[in-house]
Amino acid sequence: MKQNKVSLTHYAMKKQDIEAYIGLGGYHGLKAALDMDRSEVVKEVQDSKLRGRGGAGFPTGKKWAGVPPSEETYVVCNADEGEPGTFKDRYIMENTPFLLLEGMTIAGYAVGAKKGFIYIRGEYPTIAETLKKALEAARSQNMLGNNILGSGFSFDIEIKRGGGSYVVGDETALLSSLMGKRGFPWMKPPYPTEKGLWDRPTVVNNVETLSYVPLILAHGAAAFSKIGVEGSTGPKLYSVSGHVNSPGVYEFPMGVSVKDLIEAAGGVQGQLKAVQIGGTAGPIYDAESLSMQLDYDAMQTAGGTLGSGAVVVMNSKTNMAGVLDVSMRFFAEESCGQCFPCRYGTRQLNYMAQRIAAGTGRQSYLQLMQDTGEVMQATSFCPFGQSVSTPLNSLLQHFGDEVKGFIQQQDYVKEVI
Amino acid sequence: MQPVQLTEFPHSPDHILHIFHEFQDRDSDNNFISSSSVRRIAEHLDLSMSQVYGVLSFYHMFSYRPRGKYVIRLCDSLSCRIVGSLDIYTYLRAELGLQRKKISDDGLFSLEIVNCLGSCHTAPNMMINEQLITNLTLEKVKATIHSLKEEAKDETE
Repeated sequence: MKQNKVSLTHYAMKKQDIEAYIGLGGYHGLKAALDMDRSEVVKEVQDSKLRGRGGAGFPTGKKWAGVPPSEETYVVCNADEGEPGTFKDRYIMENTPFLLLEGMTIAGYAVGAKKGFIYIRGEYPTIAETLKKALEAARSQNMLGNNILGSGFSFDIEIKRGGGSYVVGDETALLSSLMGKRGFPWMKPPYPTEKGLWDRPTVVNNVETLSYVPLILAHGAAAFSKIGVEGSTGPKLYSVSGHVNSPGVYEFPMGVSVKDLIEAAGGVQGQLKAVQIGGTAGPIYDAESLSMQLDYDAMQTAGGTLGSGAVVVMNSKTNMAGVLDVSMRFFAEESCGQCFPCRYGTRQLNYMAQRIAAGTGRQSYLQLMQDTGEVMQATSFCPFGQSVSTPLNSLLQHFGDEVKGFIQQQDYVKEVI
Repeated sequence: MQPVQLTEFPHSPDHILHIFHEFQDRDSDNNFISSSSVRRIAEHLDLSMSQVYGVLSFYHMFSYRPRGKYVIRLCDSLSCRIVGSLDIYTYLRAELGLQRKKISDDGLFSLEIVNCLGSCHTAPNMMINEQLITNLTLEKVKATIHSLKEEAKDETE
């Protein structure tokens, strides 16, 4: 039995079969957890220094430790993977759904929940079916349901499908949506761990975060935390797409360099021009970024964020005004509209970016866009609106001359409009 | 097509997205939720119609206006854009005579741009109704549209 490998891809299977999963070493984590006291499970996850893999990087054990005792507690898996360039959660749910179910069950045990929800984005209908089948299989083996493995602990999971909204990826917006409302984020505190679903304590964790939990319990916190770097422990799934020869999901220890990751993905097609890291709200770097280290702290020092671990590679043929256009349209379409700076700001930015890309932009737009981004950063309600300035400013910093070229080529248009 | 029976669902608002999906997929040939459906849903969940519309209009996948029998959701996020999604968009608009969010003359197709279908390693991607179609080329799109037209023709005959 290949058991001493702290790797998520180790559990990947083409065909989903719970016995095969158990054969690979699956459910060792759950068994280990059920033999421990609840608080010991929380401590183990705290000691592993696992940080949330959805983008914010909050320490998972700390989140769990903050759950007060309650009659009714919920575990919610955030499977609303909407960050452009990210497809790691799809990979997990398609290739190793039992790992996720096992992780959720452990989370449920640790925080004293009986009920879990997987909120999966509406655009993943076939994966929702895969998960439903996996749930049935887990119930049939008594890995879910009443009195799991004779431990006296009962836990079950329900699948909820989303309806297509990026903002719902935010944990509070996700809870709004799960309760059948518009997907508006709400003000924290109170944090969902205190007052979440129907005002009950609720733990919201990303798919990848929960899927690493069984490995921590099966191999011990120390085995997990010695992988990676100080401050960002364990392995991580990176989604690599764009102009590389073998785009896909790659598992590396935290702190892998952009260069090594791109090499693993078969290298750049043509000449490297730009890389966007962490999703649409992440900075756009030039070719200098190759030496950058992909972990939470190093990325923060570099003025960015690891985000979901998305890396989009662009070669020299990429039109950067087009990239600006795509990014700003994304923000305008996905703004939830709850607060004014974001609702209005994203539309203005989209308008200006579209004009620039179409060759009808004005010289004043570049400054105006940056000012708009700055105001939004200062005044928007949630991280969505606050982050628009990150891709915008970095793109203009590295590729400002190219974008200016789109304006200057068509200078005469200014006179007309 | 089986009409949706609301008795399948508990009287609880947290099932509303599930109900929307079912109505849209099963209760209409036009991928939308009609005002009479909204009324029934509102009654079932003990909400006002405007509350139901409020939720309905928030989510991109749902529509309260009729759409084509096949809703094409073409991804035009960064990873798809830099490998040619714009060419496919231009092609589809011309081929089907479509403006954004409008229906083709034969009532078969509507085209929407979406932000990331979470399959960037197989870019460019699109979804037609619930099916994901990956690694798009103009030839592949052409063939897909052709076979859907044939399928629709067979159904009406």
